[in-house]
Amino acid sequence: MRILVVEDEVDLAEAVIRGLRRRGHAVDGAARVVEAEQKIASAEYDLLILDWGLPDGSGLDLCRAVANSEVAMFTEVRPRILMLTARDAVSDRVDGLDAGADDYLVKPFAFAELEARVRALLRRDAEEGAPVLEVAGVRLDPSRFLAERDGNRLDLTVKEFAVLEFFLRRPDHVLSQETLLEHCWDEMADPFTNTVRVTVSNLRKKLGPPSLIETVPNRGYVLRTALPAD
Amino acid sequence: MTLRHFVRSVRFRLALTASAVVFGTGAVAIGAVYLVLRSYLQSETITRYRVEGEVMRVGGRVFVVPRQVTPEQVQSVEAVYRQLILNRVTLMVLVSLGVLFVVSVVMGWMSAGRTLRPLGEMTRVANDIQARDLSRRIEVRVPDDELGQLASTFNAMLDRLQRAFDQQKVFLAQTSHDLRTPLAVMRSNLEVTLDDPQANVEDWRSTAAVVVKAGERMSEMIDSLLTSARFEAGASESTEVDLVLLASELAEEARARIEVEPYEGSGSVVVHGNRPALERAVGNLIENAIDAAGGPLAVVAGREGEWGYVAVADRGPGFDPDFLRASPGLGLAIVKRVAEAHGGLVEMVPRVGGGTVVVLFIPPVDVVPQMPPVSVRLGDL
Repeated sequence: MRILVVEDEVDLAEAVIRGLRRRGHAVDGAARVVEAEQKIASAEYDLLILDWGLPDGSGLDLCRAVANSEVAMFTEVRPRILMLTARDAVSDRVDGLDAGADDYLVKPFAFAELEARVRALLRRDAEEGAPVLEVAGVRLDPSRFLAERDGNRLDLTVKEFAVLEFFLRRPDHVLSQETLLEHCWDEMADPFTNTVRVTVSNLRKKLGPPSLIETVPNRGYVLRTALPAD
Repeated sequence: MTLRHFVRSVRFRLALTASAVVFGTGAVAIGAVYLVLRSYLQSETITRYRVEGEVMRVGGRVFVVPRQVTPEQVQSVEAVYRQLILNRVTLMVLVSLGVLFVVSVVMGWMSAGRTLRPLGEMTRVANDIQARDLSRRIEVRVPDDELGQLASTFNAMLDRLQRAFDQQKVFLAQTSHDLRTPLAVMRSNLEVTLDDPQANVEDWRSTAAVVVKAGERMSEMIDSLLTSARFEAGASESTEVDLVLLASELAEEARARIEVEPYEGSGSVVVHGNRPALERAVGNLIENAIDAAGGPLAVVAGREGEWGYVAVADRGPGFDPDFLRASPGLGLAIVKRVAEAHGGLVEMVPRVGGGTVVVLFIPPVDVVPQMPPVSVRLGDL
């Protein structure tokens, strides 16, 4: 899923981005409030990870602005917000959550916990919210990076895994190439390449027959839960 | 309250004093009346006025005394009568003294209570105030009297305490924030790399570099904290320090890491202070300027009116005063503490042409500045 990490501590931001990317998330970074606002306006993020103290303002104010839709956003859907800050006083945590944050994690934190909280936050908006997904014979366990079809282990790349999870959480929905690009690739992806097409086609090959992911001409792809009885 | 406490209480003693004064004065007055009356009755005998014959005048009035009564008989009747009067007067004197005693005690107790009520209130407020809630104040009813002044002084002391506590709270939050951040950097970098089965030597090398950098930052902060804490605890001595010399040395040191404009100051400004703490303060200013902007920095020291100063100017993006007040950063927070401990202060002004000038003002030795320093002129460094 698409995540924006707003953190001015470069070394920390780098580690968080690296760790989350390895879990298949599409992650961008911003070191300042202004930069974060620009990115929120130009991409559809599923989750913002916000530091409190930023050089040009407060992450809490940004959190409030996003929660109240007071900043320009790419779509109507507001991203989930996780405050990641060294401010640990109870009053700070209360302020953070009251400002509209969905979750609050205090630095220093265990990376595994951050990952788990990110997974939990991203599940909330999905149609299929189960921690382990089982749809049409496919079983996907994001916490252990495990994918199976009919009991056979699938050897997926992180990107393929992320795309498959995206499909499984929205079964029977037609998803356009743009939507997939927006949620599963970060800002480094070139929108004019056929990277989405290539990834989906590789995923289909690895999933094997019968084909789960159908192409809907001119609209995109759809994962069918009920296979056509041919 | 035990009897002993009761007898020793200010209210009891005040009441006793008031009662003694009222009762004593009353007793003397009544006693005097009694004595005068008694001596008068004894000296004034009607037999003295007795005229041979039947007529007797007493105070303008004429009495007729029968001839067959002897003066001795009259005297004995007079003596009985006198005793009766004296007995009645004695009774009245004793009763009124008793009433006076009770009334004076009650009045004294009540008036002492009213006078002392603000004191009791102060004691209650002082008891209510725990270290956490310093927001309570004593209500000052009559600001001009002695107790009103005591209450005002007490309130002013609470104001200062509250300010100091608030500052301490901000400082603590800042310290924990700034120490946690490098910890978070270390931990997340190590965990992410550790979690990567494909991590190679190069990945480990860069992770180690990040951890070393964060560790250096932490030990720098801890040094900084310890220097200012030691100084504040009075564990390090004060000497005469030349601000100009100190600033030029630190500017020279910084030149190894960043572009610093040639130092222009001359002469000397001697202050009374702790050299390590002042060095640390100016060092933090330079460090902040480097973080904010890179060069070229300007470091200048000198005298501005009644104040000695060291100013560090950068070409960074400037500052937001509100944001700084809430979260000054540990470095600047320490500079502020050092400044305040030296009777000085820290000011920030925008630098002409972009950037920030941070000025550390310290009063020179033997000078007690009457006016706050003016830092605006330093903007065009």
